Amino acid sequence: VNARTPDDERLGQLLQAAQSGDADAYLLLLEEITPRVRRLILRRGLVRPEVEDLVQDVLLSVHVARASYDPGRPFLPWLAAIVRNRLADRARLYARRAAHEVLVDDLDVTFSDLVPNTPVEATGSATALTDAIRALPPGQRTAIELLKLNELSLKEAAAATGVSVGALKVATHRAMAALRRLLSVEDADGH
Amino acid sequence: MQMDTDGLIRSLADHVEPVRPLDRPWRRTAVWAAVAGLYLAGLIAVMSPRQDLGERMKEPLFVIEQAAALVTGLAAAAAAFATVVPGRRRSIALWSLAPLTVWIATVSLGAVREYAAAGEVPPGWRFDWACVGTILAGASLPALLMGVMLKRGAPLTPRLSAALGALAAAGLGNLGVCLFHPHSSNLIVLVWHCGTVLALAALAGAAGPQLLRWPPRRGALFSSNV
Repeated sequence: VNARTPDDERLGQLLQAAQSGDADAYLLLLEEITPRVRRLILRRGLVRPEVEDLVQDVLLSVHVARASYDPGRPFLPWLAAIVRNRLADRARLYARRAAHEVLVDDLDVTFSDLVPNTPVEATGSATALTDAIRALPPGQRTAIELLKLNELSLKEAAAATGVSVGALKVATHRAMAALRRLLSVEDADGH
Repeated sequence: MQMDTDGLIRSLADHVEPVRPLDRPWRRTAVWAAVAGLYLAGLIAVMSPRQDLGERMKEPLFVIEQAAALVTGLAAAAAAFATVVPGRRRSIALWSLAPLTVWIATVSLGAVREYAAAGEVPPGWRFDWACVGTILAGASLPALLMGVMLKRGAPLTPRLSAALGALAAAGLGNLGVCLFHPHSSNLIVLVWHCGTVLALAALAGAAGPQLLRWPPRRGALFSSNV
């Protein structure tokens, strides 16, 4: 189990030197492990900006935990354990964020327009949107205001209104459909 | 704005300082147990050993019970120290399960025997808060030391590490308490001693992510966790 490749031994020696404060050895080690870490993370299917963010997290963790490396043990399993841990942390973070998001249909009123947006038009659209929100039934208006304008989570909005999470989801979905309808009518009217 | 990876690497190398590699888990366990043992010995000396200690030490069940509590504490400590070393197997946490089972089983057996002999539940067993207080006192310094030592490692499994650390500290604290604090029945030991030790481990496990975590990005460069 503890059989070590020459590569593993060399990296282990570099970290051992870094533990003694050798900056050159540490620089060499970090430069060598960074592409390996990046490859490990890319295998999980993450996109580029996230990959670099995670690579940096791993490098910082290696830095913080470098005293925990035992020179008598293999280096790569030590590194892989840190990578796995930071990937799991990131997955938990995404799961927590996803729990606070509301999935609704995409609004295509902006990007599928034939006429490109202009600052003037953006201001006009904002006004039209405000008017359209005001025109919504009270339940749907409250749902949009809390979830979209005030960016509350579903749980927080449910606690604030006393309405169930399911009912809020339905109200939001209907409100978005109504807004799409109202705004497209205004567009057709020449705005 | 976020630093690019090459810049981060240069910065980390520029800030690298010598660190003392962590000892192996069993050596760290020995150091921790020695300090905790000295503290408990002092506590026992201050509180005076219980009057019936010599007599109780002749009872095999009592000896097995205390030995199992001691081994539980040591095994949990070794497992806790192993969990903060990347690359170590997590199954190491199972080490403490066998002595813990023996400890609880011997106490339970004693309680059943007492009940069978007396034919009733011993009076006053419900309100022995003194046991909880003395276990907390006995576990306090070992727990503090354990926390400091765990923080020098990598917080890979904060819940498990904290729970094992608390089990170790409370297990040893309980052993010290049993040597100076007399109790009238095994049921009291089962409920108040074993219960307190397990509750402390559970509480520490729940608080693990707050107690043991990676430092924030900004602080990581200059972390003294090394």
